[in-house]
Parts: sequence; structure tokens; C-alpha cells
Amino acid sequence: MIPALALVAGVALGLVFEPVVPLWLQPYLPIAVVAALDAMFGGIRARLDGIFDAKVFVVSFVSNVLVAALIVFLGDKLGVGAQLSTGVVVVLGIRIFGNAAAIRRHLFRA
Amino acid sequence: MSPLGVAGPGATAAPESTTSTAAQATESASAGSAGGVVESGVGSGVEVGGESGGESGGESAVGRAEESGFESAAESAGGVVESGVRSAAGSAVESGGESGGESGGESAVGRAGESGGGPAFEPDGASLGESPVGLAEESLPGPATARGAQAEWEDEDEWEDEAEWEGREFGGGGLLPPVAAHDADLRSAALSARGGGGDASDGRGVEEADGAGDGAGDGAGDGAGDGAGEGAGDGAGAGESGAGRRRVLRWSRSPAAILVGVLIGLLGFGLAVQVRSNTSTSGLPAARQEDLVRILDDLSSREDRLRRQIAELEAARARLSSAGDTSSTALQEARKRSEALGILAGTVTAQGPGVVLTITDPDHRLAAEDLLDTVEELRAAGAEAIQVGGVRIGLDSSFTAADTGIAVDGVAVTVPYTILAIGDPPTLATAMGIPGGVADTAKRAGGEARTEQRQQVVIRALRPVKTPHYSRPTN
Repeated sequence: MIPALALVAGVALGLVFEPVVPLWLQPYLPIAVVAALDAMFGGIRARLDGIFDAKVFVVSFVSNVLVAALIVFLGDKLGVGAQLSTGVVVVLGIRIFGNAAAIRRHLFRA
Repeated sequence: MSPLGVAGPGATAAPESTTSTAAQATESASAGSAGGVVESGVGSGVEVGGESGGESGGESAVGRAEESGFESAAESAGGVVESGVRSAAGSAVESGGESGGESGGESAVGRAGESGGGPAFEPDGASLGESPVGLAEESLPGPATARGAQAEWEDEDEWEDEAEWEGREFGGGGLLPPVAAHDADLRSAALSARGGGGDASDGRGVEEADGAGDGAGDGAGDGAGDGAGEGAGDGAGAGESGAGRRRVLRWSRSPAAILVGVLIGLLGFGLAVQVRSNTSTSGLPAARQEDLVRILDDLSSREDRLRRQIAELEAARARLSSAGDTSSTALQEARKRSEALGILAGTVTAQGPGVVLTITDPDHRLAAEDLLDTVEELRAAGAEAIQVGGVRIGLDSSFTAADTGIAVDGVAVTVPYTILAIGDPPTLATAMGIPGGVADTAKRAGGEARTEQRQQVVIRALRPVKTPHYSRPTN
């Protein structure tokens, strides 16, 4: 499947090139990655539910990443950066868990 | 023709678990008059919501959406069907968004947008037209609309705009027959048609949107058209025959799929980069200000502790080094003492200025006492080390008469007697020469005592070291 191959290719590229993360990006990259992971899990679940739509996936992916980064950025500016970042990570984790549970139900019927 | 007829199919389009209940609702809805239909529809919608809620969270959300959709439908029941549908869709959207909570609202909105439009479900209805569910309205949309919807499917990712939706006829065509609850094919078809795409991170939202689409039913079909276009594009042939519609999961090389692949690739890339950067760097440049302040405080306190420790250690070192000096001094003292005592005891070779005394005794008239007197005289004159013949004179030296002459410590010495003495040479020489001294005694015995002063006299004879058996130090 294309996305699986793309994921593997992306990871391989990341390992091969070993780019250095720019300083201004470093606080946001982990949050962005987790948000993107959440979008990906949602996409997988939608796929298994049979309701996948590429456009919605793309938009949600991008918006997830942007909104997460925006929240973290805002939190830093407001002085509650650590708390907001924690909150974002918690919420994304909850959603990932929910989607993973749905995927599990699809795959294992359990 | 009841507004619930619109909601009905929408409800049926909801996830499987709610399909049957929705079908029930539809049936009950279609059973009565418009108003009665609405109310019963609402009631059944509530039940549907409740029942579906029991199944899974998402599905309960769907139920809620359905419920709200039904309610709005009921409100607008008195009005124009279209407006009723629209408002139902709109409120369904809102309710879907609210109940979505977890960003499900996004897809709910999307769904709602879809469902707010025309008879998206029409294709479904069209395909399902063959299987009437006993609903009077075979209110299939005009063939034109059905074809249009189908055309949507064939353009896999075409996203319709509101204008198109609004252009759809709502009239008789706007009402779709409910899906037969017990027709698996139709149900799957309905599901795939309902597709509606959207990622399910807003999964619930999608379902809610599906529920929202219930308000319109058609809108879901639109979204279904898009989503189904991907998954069931081939299966869309069901629109033609309505039979054997399979959900074919086949990725196509559409730009959307490639874009999805690119995004997933970016995710993998970011994942690898982040993991690598996290493990390799200390993370300080990326840390927050408050974290850095905390780290700075920790480091400052640690620095204080370490400085105090340094001061303590330096003091200890100074103490120990000074003590060490005294101990080395003591060591030197002990060494010097042992040397002095060794020289005096005869256990160490000695050298220094002194005299060499040669006593000749041709007549062998000198006795041991004479040698003892010589040694005594030398000691009295300050000799520090004395060697007679080859024997070192020490604390317990003895002169005895032996067969061959005189024996010193049991070792026979022969004439001429050579005596080495280390001390002040003039003093020693004078002592030898005093009247009645060694020289006089030797001369009276017929011999001669010759004293030779030297700057360097080396005494090599040693006495064996003896440890006392009986005596001990008092302290």
C-alpha cells in the first residue's frame, strides 16, 4: 500500500540524510510529529471503516500539524508553554488511543 | 413525502449498528402522516441514538447527531421540505460538531457540507431503487440527478460545491427510499456510498456527520459519492444494477493518493529526524525558557556545593602535606640516627679523617691488654670507629690471648698490628704519643708504634648485628 511504503521511505530518508533541525523549529517538531501521527491513525481508522477521503485526510493532517504548532507557539508566548504543550500531547495521545482501539476492533474483532 | 423520509435514509446510511434501527425509524416515519411521521421519526431517532449509543462511542455520537437531525427536521416539518432538510442538515452539522468535540467537528462540518447539499444519497437511492423497502416514495431523484451522482463517483475525488447541491432537485426526488435494513448488500452499499471520506481522527465526527447527513440524507450521498468514488468507485456500478455492489478497496494513482503518500512520507521523515535529534543532542537549545531557568538554578546550587567541597579538600590536603613534611623530617632524622648508631656499633662501613696505627712487635712481648689499652686510648681521644687488623671494634669486643698471639673477638691478629681509627687526626696522634701511652708501651716492649695521620681512612670491617635477648627499651 502506498502510505505504508511512503512511511518506510520517509523514515529511511530521515535516517539517511540526518538533517539538523533548525533551532527555531526544535520546540515544535515533536508536537507536529505527534499531531501528524494522530492524523495518520485517524486515516487508518477511516480506511478500515470504509469512509476514507483523501481530501479530508490531507486537510486534517495539515491542520492538525499547524494547529498543534500554533497552540505550542501561543503557549510559549503566553508563558504557559510547558502546560499547553503537555495538554496538546495528552489530547493527541487520547485521540491516538481511541483510533488505535477502533483499528484494533477492526483487525482483531476484539 | 415526509421530511423524515430524507432523514430516514440518512439514518440508514449511518454505521451498520444503527442501520437497522434507522431503518426502523424510517419505516415508522413513513408509516404515519407528515407530522406524525416527524414525531415518530424523532422518537425513533432518539431511540436510535440511544441504542446506537450503547454500541460504541462514535456510534452514540451518530445517534446524537441523528437525534438532533431529527429534531431539527421535526421543527422544520411544518415548513418547506427543502428548508427543513437544510436546517436539519445545518443543525446536524452543529450538533455533529459539538458532539464531535474531538475535532470530529471538522469532518462533521465537511460531512454536513456535503450533506447539506443535494440528494447525495440519491445515487444510493437510485441504486437501491431496485429494492423497495415498502416506502411509498420511490422518491428517486430524477434520473438526471442519479446520473450526476454517479458521475461524481466516477470522478473519484471531485468535491462538489454548494451550487451543485443546491441545484439538485429536492422535490420528489429529494426524498430517498430507506435502505432495506436486512439487505446486506444494500447495507454495505449504503455504507460505501455513505463513505463520505474524511479521516477518522475525526472518526466520530465522520459518523456524526453521517448522522448529520441523516438530516438531509442526500448530503451523505454526496460525500459518499466522493468517498465511495475512491473505495467503491468500481462498486459504483451498483448504481447501474444495484446488485453485487462490492466495496473494492483499490488505491488509485490519483493525485490525492500521491498527496497522501507524500504526507505520510513527511510524517516518517519528521519522525526519524525528531528521534535522531532527540537522542543525539542534549536538547538545551530546544528547551523552554522556564526549563532553562530551572536547569540554571540546579547547576548554580550544584556549583556552590562543589566549591565548598573543593575548599574542604584543599584544606585537608594542606594539612596532610604539612604532616607529611614532618613525617619525612622524622624519617630523615631516623635515618641519620641509624647511620650514626651503625657507625658506632660497627654495623656500617665508615670513612673519614683519622689515623693508621702500625705497631710492630718483633719479640712478641705485647699482650692483649696492650691492644686493649690502645683501643681505650683511641676512644678517649674521640675515635668513632676503630678497626684492629680485620676486626671492627664494637661494644662487646674482647682481646684475648690466643696460641698464635692476640685474638680480637676470637680472630687472631698478627704482627704488625694495624689499627685504623677515624676521628680527629691530630688529637688521635697526640693521644698515641703521650708519655706512658701506646708508643711508650710499644717501645718498652721492643717494638714500635707508628702513627700516620690521614685525611681519608676507610674502615670496611663490620660487626654482625645482634638483637638483644634480655634487654628492652623502657618506653
